[in-house]
Amino acid sequence: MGSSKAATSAHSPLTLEDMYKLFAKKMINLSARIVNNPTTAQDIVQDAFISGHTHIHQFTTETDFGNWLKRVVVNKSIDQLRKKSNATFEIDDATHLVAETDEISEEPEYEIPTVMQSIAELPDGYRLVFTLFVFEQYSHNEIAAALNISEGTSKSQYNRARKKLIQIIQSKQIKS
Amino acid sequence: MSKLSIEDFILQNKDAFDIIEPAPIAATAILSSTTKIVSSSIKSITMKVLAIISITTVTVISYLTFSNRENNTTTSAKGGENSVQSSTVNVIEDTPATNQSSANYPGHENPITHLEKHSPLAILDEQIEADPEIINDNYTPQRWDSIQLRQPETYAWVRKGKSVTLNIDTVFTGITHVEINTNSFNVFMKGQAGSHNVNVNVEAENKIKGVVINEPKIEVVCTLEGSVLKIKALFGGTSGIGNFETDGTLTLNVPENATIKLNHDYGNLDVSNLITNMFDLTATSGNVKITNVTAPINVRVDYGNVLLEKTVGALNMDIGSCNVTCGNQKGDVNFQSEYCNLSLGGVEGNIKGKLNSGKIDLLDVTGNIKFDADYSNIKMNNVKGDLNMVTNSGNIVGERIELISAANLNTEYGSVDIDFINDIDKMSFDLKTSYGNIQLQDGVNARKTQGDLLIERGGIKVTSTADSGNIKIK
Repeated sequence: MGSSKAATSAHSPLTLEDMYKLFAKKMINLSARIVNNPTTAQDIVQDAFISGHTHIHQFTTETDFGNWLKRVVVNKSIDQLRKKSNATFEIDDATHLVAETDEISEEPEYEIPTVMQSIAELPDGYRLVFTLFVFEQYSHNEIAAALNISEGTSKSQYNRARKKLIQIIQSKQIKS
Repeated sequence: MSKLSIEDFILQNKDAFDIIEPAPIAATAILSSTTKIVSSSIKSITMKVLAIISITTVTVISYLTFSNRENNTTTSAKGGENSVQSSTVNVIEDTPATNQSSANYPGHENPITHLEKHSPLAILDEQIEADPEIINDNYTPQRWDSIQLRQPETYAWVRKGKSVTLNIDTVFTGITHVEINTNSFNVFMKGQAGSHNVNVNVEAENKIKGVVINEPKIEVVCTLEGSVLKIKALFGGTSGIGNFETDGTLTLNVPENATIKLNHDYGNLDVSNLITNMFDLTATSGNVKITNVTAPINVRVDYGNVLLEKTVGALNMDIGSCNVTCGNQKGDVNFQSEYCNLSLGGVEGNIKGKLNSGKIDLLDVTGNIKFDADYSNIKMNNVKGDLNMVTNSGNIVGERIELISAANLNTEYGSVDIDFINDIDKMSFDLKTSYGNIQLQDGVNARKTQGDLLIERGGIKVTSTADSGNIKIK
């Protein structure tokens, strides 16, 4: 405990320990959904909190720190995704299609294990955009800024991800 | 009871989707973190030194390689290894950065608002298929791909396959420059006064049967870069063995006072009611109709029929083998062609032309005319202006010609036959022929001679030579 407090600034009411308790679970799960690997996610969040050690004094509220931490975790996770894919992960802004408006005619019955497994099976880029939009409630504008793509690209990627996800879920339901 | 959407289902069960629980904070964990903080500090110093070396190296290489390109990407030194690893995603080690998407573009104060209002997402064909995966595990981007391609906003609609259709109706705002590239589309373009919008409407269908070399597809790509809109409308996969029938119509409403550049391969083109800074057309073949256009106009057409009516502004035409008809043109005309039938009527402006063979009809022209027409016959009626014409075997014929100061009419094997409105008795003539006859009919006398005829009587002077042809003036 003492170590944790020692790691925070004397001028800040925030402690790294409190912040960890508050945000660790959310951040690890956020990262795990993006990188699709719990162990890597834990490392990323650990690194993010270490970065937080040097910056926590800049924040006066938990929300501010939480928002900052989320950005760091998201960016580190994206970076990890790129490293893992050996630079093959790319959302190409110049050739994106904003053409997918195919609606799913009927929503299938969803079950949590099936949906979780199906999300994990999405391609990296799809899973990334879907996670940010649905789980983290990012707007397409925010996703575009985070990924350095256009808003239109984000929308099209999300539409595709959603369509793909439902296809995977339906195929699993048929098999079972 | 209606079923939940996937988004609602996830949000209602969000906690259940947590994959893992974090390890509880224990003394060891904190100690581990603290140790890691210390070690990371050492690592950080080392990495920063390495990062500076790496960044310096990359910067020098980048500068040398891409020194001629604009590079808007910021490489974060604080990102250390990350900033070098990835050119597009920098780990944010500082307080939140500004939103890159809110940058202003010329003509668009807020591109995000623009896209929300006019995103093709809302209005495109529901049956459009996806292009190859953008997020493609097999795609290996070049290191700087993303930087080069970040600037424009690109919208692409693609239908692949035989017997497919594509329908698009969308709008782009704040446009001052439009570039269009099409291959087998019929293009209809209209100007809309007081607007900065470009309305794009596409109706296309292919009925391809047979063995194709390339994948059949209909593709429309709109690239928006600031206030510049580039539109490509293409049929693909139309070569091979079989029947490659395509039917595409691209209808555009373009803004007033924009610059319009159109590259058009095959198909008909109809442009009307346009007031622009520049209209530049390049077409391979097809029928071209341009009416009610106020703009400097450049027309390059290889094969087909070209009709211009009620045009205002300088008109430059570079024509391959066409029939060209131009009526009611206010502004100078610059024309050149190899094989062409040209008819110019109601022109208020100077005409300068060069034609190898074909017919030239000039009717109701107010302006000077200069033509170099090798094997072409030149026929004029009701012209007010000076003439400067050269042919090889073409005849130069004119009725109701009113000279302002001079005419210079020369032919090798053709004849010159001009009927002037001017008072011939007050004109000077220098007429020469080697093997032909010279006939000059003035108010009193009719002179007929061979060889040279030189008369000095007034300020308006007609000079004409016809090596083996006749010269007839009245």
